Amino acid sequence: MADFSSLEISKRALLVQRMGLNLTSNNIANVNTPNYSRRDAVLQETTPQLNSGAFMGTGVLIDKLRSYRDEFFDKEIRVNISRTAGFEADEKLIKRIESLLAEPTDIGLNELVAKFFNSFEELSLKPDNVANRQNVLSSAKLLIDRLHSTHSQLNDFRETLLGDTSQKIEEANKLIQNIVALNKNIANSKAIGGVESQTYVDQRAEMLERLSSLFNITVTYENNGTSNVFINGMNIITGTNYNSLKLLVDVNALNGEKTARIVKMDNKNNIIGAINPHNGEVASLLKGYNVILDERDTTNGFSIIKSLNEFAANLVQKVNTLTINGFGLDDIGPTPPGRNFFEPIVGQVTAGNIRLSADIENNPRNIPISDSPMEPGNNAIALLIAKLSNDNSFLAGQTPGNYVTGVLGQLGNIGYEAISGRRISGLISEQLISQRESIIGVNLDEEAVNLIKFQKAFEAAARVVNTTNELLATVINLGR
Amino acid sequence: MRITNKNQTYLYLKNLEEIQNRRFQENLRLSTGKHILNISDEPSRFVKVKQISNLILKNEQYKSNMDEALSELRVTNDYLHNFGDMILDIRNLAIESTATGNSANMFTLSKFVKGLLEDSIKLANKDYNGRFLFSGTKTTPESLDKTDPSQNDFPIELIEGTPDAENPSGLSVIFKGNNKARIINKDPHSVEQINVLAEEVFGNGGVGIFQDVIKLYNIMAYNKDGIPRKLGDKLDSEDIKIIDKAQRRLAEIYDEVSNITSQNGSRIIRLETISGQISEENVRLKELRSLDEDTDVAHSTIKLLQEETALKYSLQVGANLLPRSLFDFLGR
Repeated sequence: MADFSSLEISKRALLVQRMGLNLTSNNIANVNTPNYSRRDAVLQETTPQLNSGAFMGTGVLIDKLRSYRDEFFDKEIRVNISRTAGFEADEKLIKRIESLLAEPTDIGLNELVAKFFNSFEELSLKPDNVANRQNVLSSAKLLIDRLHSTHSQLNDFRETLLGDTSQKIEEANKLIQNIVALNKNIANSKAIGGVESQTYVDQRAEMLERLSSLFNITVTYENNGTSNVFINGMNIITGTNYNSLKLLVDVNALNGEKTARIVKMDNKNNIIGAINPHNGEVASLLKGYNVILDERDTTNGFSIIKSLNEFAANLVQKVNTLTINGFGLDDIGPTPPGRNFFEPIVGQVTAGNIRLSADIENNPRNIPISDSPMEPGNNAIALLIAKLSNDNSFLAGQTPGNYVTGVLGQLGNIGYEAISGRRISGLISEQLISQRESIIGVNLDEEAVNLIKFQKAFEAAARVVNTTNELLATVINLGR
Repeated sequence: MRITNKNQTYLYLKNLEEIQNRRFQENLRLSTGKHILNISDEPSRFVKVKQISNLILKNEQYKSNMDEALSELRVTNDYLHNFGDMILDIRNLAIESTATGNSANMFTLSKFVKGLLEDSIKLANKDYNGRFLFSGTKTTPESLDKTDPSQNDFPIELIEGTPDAENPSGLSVIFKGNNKARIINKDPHSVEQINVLAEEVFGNGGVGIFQDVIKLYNIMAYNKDGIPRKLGDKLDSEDIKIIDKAQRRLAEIYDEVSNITSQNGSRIIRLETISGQISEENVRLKELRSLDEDTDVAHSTIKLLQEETALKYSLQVGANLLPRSLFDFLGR
């Protein structure tokens, strides 16, 4: 009996060490797999047997396979990933807008505004000089062209954001489906083997992190190992059931404002609720579309296009108010011809539709800068227009130059906050990921030692089998 | 802390990326010479730089306008000096005409006076870069009030009308401009007049002086009966009294012209002073802007060197440490 028990013990040892080698191989194979949590076997001595008045050990078995995944870190990392992704998306958005505005350069909008008012200052010295009048038209056209191109580029960029958001929603839907599929696998593995398959748990953790870069999500777990996912409190995944997300664009019937929003759908494609993410890439893209680049924004947030529109509308109104009472070089009076410098637009003047009045554009002699007829040296209105550049009540209690600079500064502040936020949350993420990695990650040195450990144990067990075999042979040969 | 393989690669890559990013930024700062590369790097600094730039641009425009106006005022000043000299010449002729023995030369002297009258009108019609200097805001020929009897395109015109007892020569002068000031901004809060008004320099209606000279000419060139003086026609005591009165009036006019010339000179000095102040202010503003806008080359160079050193060692560490594990030594 004793001889055979040695064989039994050795067999168990061989199986256990072999399992240990397999686990080590799997750890080594997945050393670079994202979100892989290392596993090891918890060895336990088997139940002892009473033999010759003493309890003798009967070998070894694997009590369980242990994974080092820690939900605390996972949760905190998801929160930080969401914040970091949101800040990164904000930063990209602002840097893109900065490049569209050609700032900071010496030929930015700010300089063109200054050039426009300076051209009137210059004209005030030689109001009868057609070349100087042409210079006013040139600087006005430069400013108008820049406003037009900025307006159109920012609007094009806004449409690009909508396309990006749509792609992100598609990506989110795929991730949701994958998470649900993994939930099913986890539930099945638990039902069959009594424990969750760590492989699926790790894969789900990776999917959840990817989803958290798009939205701020909260995750809860059920006893069967499945997870529930909420976006800003709105349930999206419940175990093995899920709702798809959809991007909708609403148009305000009153002002034509387009607003993008995310809704969740049931399996019959009916809208069953709105999703309002406040972190993550999608939240940033929506903020870009609905506020920063929305020229009809009604949220009172900072909109760069709306600000430029307000500037254009004010410029048109203030300059036209002055020129309407003026006379051009050839106007004989006695009443002013009522010329507007900028074309009065029916409806709202915007940075996209501001233009010179045809009367002025076709003939610089018509620029009405004199307050009396037939006085080519009269610069009264040119002086007033030039003085607008120092007018603190031009718009929002600021001069035109300071308003434009302020708008750019405001944009820069959003970018600055995004960069700072990204740095801080990125640093926290790095630390958390690093700490988590130090727990769940694979250390090749450790695994090399484990490899040797299991190899040597296996070799020893094999030697025991061999020795036992020789012993048995001796016993068998005793009668010969 | 347990260090895993991903720990090493993750942190290594993050740090390498940071170093490369910082190195790139310093490289850009040195190659562009600008400290602010994006608005969002330092928005408050960007706003400050732009506000200073706005002031500089505005100042440059004020200065450019003032420098141009100064040229015009200097030309005006020269003409005013010349005009004053002509008035003095006319007065001298008037005085000379009353001198003993000269009354017989009245015909010749009157011709000189008429010549000077015509010259002074030419001077009053001078322009600068196509703009009449003494016609107010009616600076071009097209804008002048060319109603009858006007025949030319100049603001002040000598008309040869029908002689009568009062005006035996029939000469008169008309002013076709106006007496409005031309103003420029010399800074955001103050303005300066850059023209001399005809009424100020040429007297009543912009022609007062010329009318006075015509009166003098009429006395010198015509007898009381309106017949032109012949060579040798002498002045009587009444004529001499009128001429004496005229020469005193011309002396007053000369004082007035001198006064206007000095007022114009004051404008020149004011503009020169402010233009100089603006130049100095712009130098200071540019220095101030440069502090915020431009790269501190020494600082950036040192930072670049630091980053390059960090990158070099980081790459060396990566090359030496990352591939090393126990596996490298097993089986040897």
